[in-house]
Amino acid sequence: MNRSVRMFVVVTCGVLVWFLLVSGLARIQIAEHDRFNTLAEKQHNLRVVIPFMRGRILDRRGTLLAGSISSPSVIANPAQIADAAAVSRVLGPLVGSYGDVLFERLSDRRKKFVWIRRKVDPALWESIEAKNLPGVYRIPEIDRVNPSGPLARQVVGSTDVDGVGLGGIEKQFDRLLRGTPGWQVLQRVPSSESRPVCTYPCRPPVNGCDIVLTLDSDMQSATESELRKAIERCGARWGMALVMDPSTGEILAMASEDGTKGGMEVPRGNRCVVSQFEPGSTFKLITYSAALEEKVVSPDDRFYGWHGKKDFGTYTIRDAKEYDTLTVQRAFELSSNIVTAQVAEALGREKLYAYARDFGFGTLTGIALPGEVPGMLHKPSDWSGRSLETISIGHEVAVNLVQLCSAFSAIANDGVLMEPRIVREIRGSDGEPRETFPPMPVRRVVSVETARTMRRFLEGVVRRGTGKAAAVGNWPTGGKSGTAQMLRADGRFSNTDFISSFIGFVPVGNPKVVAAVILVDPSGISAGGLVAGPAFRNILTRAMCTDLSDSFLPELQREAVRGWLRAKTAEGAAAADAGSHGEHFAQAAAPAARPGRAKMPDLRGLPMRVAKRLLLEAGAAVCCRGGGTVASQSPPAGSDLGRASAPVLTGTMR
Amino acid sequence: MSYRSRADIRQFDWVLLVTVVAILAFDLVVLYSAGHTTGSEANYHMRQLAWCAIGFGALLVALALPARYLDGLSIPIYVVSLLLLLYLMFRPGGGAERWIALGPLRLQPSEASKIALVLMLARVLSDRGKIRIGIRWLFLPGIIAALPFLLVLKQPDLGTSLVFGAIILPMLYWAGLPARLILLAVSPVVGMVASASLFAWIAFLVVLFVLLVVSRASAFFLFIALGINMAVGVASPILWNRLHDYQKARILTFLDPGHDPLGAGYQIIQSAVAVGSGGFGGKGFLQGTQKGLSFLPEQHTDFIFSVVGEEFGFVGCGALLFLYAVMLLRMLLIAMRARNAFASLMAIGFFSYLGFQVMVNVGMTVGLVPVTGLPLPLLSYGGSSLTTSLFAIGAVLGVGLRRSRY
Repeated sequence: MNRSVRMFVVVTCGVLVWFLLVSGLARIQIAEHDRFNTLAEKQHNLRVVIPFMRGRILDRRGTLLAGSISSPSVIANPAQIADAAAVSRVLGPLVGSYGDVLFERLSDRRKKFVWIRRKVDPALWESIEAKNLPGVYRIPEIDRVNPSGPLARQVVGSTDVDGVGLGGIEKQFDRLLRGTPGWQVLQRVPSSESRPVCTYPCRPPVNGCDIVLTLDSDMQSATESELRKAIERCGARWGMALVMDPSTGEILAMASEDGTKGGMEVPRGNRCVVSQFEPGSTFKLITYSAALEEKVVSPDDRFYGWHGKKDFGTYTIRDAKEYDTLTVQRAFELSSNIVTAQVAEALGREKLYAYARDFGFGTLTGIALPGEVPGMLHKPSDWSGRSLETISIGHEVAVNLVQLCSAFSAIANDGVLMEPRIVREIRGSDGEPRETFPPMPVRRVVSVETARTMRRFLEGVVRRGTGKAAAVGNWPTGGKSGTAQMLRADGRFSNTDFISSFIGFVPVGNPKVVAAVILVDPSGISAGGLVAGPAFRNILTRAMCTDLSDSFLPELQREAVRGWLRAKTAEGAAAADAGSHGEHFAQAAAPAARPGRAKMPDLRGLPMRVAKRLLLEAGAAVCCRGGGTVASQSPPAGSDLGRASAPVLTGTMR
Repeated sequence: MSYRSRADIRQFDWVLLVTVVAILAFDLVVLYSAGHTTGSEANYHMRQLAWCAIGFGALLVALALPARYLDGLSIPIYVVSLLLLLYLMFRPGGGAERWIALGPLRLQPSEASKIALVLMLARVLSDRGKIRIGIRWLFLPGIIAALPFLLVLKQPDLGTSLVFGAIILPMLYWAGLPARLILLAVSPVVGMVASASLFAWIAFLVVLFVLLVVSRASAFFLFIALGINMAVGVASPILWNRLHDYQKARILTFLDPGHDPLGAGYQIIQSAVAVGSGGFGGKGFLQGTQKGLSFLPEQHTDFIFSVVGEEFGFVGCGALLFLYAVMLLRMLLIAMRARNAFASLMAIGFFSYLGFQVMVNVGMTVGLVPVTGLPLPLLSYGGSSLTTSLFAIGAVLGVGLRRSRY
């Protein structure tokens, strides 16, 4: 029948279509299931990277020098922005970009990612978000902050916008400061923001290690400001200063500053390690230590001073003043070049070279800072006819400040050279120490007796010699001045440009702090004792006023108080000027003498350091948490100090 | 032959009714899931349930009306449906919308015009129970189909207008039009697509020639057919440029969904991803992630089949397609057994209407045909579509019930 044929044709067509549909289904649901499943997961799963927190850099007592905060970056997807002009009009004033620059960036619709502003204040992002702009997003990033401001910036260094260390500790320990970023799989919803789902996999980020420096921020701040003042006062081109704990080799402060004088090229970076200079008379320490240790001279041996000018055959050496005869000690105190040269001749080339090597010159100290220069100390076989005498007075030899300061520390430390250190401890992100750096003796350079004799010599420099201006209050101070002629471009020594230096320590009996001040090319007076000496004195005086180191401060204070009392009884009430420092310490040393009289002030909002200083000066111990400004305090303002436990200050930075 | 209608309950097609009810039950389950997305709850299933009640009312009305009443009503229904389409086009306030708001209801006249076209075609192709077909009669069905076709095309709704084409061809064939004439009618459409590429077009002409020779067409007919196709092949690039951009985009996207993944290709890719990720067994009821996270477009209407594919997998899709196959086969059987020409043609028309929409919708979801915006009968959310489908099924059930009567 006709209809059956048509029925057959229709059913056949239907069956064909049916099989076509089923096979189509089978293709995408069975054959290509894996591919589509992956696609689906990609669509609704979003793997986001969780940035790690770069490790903190702290000073020896936990003050934050560099820390990390999360800080969103504003980005945009120009492909999603239809009206770039409108978006840039709204966004421009918020992020502080010029409208047309922003517009240009936003109107390139081929791009899917452009930066708008990196690392903005979270509050700024909130106000941007409130504008509800299409195609404008945020990605989490970590910003580096220095809550202590420019304090110790040359040591700490900086990072670039991607969080890579560019200098200083940030560069040296970049690998440790970095952590491992984590990730999280978010569920993506096309209509709104992605959201986390607890059953989805994630890996938390591992934050970077914290680096605890040996620096003391109070000491550092004192050093920096005194150095600045000294440079300004003497009109130097630049200067640097270093404070060290001689018994451990720990560097307590390290600073270098520029003066306003331009002209000659100024070395860049942390000059205490990257620049080398001729030490001048401060190097005589090595000559005399060697000569005394080798017993080629004794402190009371007399040398003829040649009235300020001695002919050494092909060349002459001069003194600042004309001397007749001088004992060895006196010659050191007055910094006589002529006598030093004669002592060196008695010592001999090989011995001078060996001692200079032993004191650490000509080799890297191995301090954990980038770019250290080894300095320059030629072998005796390369010396010229005048090298022995020249080197003995600190020329024809180049040193870096860490080397020089370490050499003085060795004398302060009874003859044992310690490895200079800037890093005290590396802490894991969990706060547990991962690596500690105990004091490392390098070698004994001279005997205890020689070291003591040299300290007596150094004390004499301050009491009677070229370093009178360096006396730190009434503390027994020891030190050596240096005034080196600068090498001119033509290879001859300049008679007008000098490097003035002073290196010393307090107290002489058992030195606790070694400090060095170098001022390059001061205008006017250039004598190291007169130019660098006062800066040295100011740094150490302020150091004494800070809670420098809990370990040795009480002892220092006791010694200071004793010295002050002695001075008081000897000189009577007239020594009020000198006593002002001592009085300060008398109060600080005996807080128990007037318990309960001091009231806890309202310290909130003050810089942490200032608040701490105030409490210490009021005679209270203090416990500080974090840095920045004081966010909260315990006990509250107005309560008695001294009765309860130590006040606790909590800073705004973690 | 008696004109009295006498229902014979023993001839009632229970299988068809049960199949339809099964599909509708499945529909409510799927719609419950489709409304169940992250962050929002829409109770499509409850509203669809209400529409089911209305739809079953329409089904009962169609079932109760004997074929001769439908025959008599076909002209008024056709005219009213045309008027409604015209009203859509010329109503004040522009004609961007495809529906007429009637209180809370939004009616799509284009759905009703499918019924109207089937009834009207069945009327003109039959005369009191006899088929009447001939070359001179061909113009009338052509005009009858062309009017709603053009009006809907103008809306513009390419998908629905294609349904009209899909309705008339099987009805003409069923009415006795020779296969080669159908071939002649269909070939320009295929040729139009093929003309996009020169090689495809030449291959198409060769196949057409072979088919015409096999169907014993005369040399004259062969000459005419090939001539028309060549003319179409030349003219179609010109016509192509007159298409709407979104229509072009749909066709282009069908050919290569990857070329605009966030634009026109989004629906096809998302649908394929959802169905493909369902796999053999599916992700489980309410577990569809693409659906749940609203990655699926139109997931309760045109792309409802994607939800089935994602949550119930190949098994669920196969089962649903099986139910549709049973439903359509039963409709075809009723059409074949009907003694009355009008009833038989009407059944074939409704069979084609529903069958074409199932084919196109599923084919679109699977990526076999371009996105046309046709709902899946009985499954897509929407009152007009559901009511129309159920009316058509009711009419076919009525034909089965009064198999030997007019």
